[in-house]
Amino acid sequence: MTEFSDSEILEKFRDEKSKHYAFNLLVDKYRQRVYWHIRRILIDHEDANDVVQDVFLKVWFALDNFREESKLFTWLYRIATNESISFLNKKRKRFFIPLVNVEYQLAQSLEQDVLFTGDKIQKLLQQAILKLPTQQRIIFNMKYFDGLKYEEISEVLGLSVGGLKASYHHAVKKIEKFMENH
Amino acid sequence: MKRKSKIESKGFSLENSESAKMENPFSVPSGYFQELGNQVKSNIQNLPTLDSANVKNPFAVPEGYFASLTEAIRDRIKSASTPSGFKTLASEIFRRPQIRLSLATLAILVVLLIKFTQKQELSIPENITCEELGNSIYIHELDEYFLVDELGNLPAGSTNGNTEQDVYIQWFMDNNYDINYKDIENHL
Repeated sequence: MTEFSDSEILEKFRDEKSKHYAFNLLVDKYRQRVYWHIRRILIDHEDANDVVQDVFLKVWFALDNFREESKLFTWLYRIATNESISFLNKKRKRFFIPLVNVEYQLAQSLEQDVLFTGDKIQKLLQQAILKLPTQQRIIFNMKYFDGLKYEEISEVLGLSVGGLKASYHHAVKKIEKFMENH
Repeated sequence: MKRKSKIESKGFSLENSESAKMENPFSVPSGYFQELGNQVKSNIQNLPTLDSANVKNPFAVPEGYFASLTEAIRDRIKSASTPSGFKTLASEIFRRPQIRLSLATLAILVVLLIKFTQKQELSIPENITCEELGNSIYIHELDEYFLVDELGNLPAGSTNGNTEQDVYIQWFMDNNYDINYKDIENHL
């Protein structure tokens, strides 16, 4: 199947006749990347499924206003990150979980998750990542798992490249220390 | 003078650290410390080095999930696009639990208020004349047997009719006499 470029998809989306077709192309192109980004933040598949649908719903209503000042995929990542963070905040409020404990709860849910297929070391790595503060965790995931460049992460999160490098370095040190001790 | 602590009074001194070291109450399995070193080394060797070559995705999704995801998103968009602006606004308002709770409380209060005021309207006025009762359209809806039962239990003289006549009527009714109104008037 031919993969359309972002600008081709956007052009088709702006034409009322091919709007739905263009949106399907966009979903097909980015659904997996967006889903995995959300899943690594929220851990639970059902939560990730809810949020990924919300993200594309927002994209549908906001795409007309997308001015191509940033890349389409960094814009999608930004929406996905914001939606995931607000989902975690809602979860904290709904279940009266203290701010620091939501990641602890996610680590607990990993134990019973049938859709976690990693081995013992992979589980330990995820538990180490879940010990990081939310923003540092997101930075680590984007760099380590998604292989994004610092410039791209900077565009998504609106943070300086220098700050991101320092944050990633500290995250790696913390994770290594956690894994050595467990 | 320094006061003796509870521990010291039982013959034990925390300052006597040498004797405490000698009497370690814990023990480890035999050969534990030799094994520990090897275990730590092996754990470190098995650690995934955090470079991109070792990246593995440990999460999975249900079978056919991504194929159905596009469909699910399309359905969400369809249902979100269908309602009118008012419906969207209404659903957005009712989505908030505080507003739902406030509206439910308000609805209960309104129902209670209506019930209370209706009860006031339905209460029977204490003083009602026979004329008012006779003119009332509701008198025709009253059950005849109900009236007989209710008025039959009243003491003689408590009704506004001819008391002597009532006594005769009651006597005739009690003794199963078939008699009409004119007979009674003639008799009186």
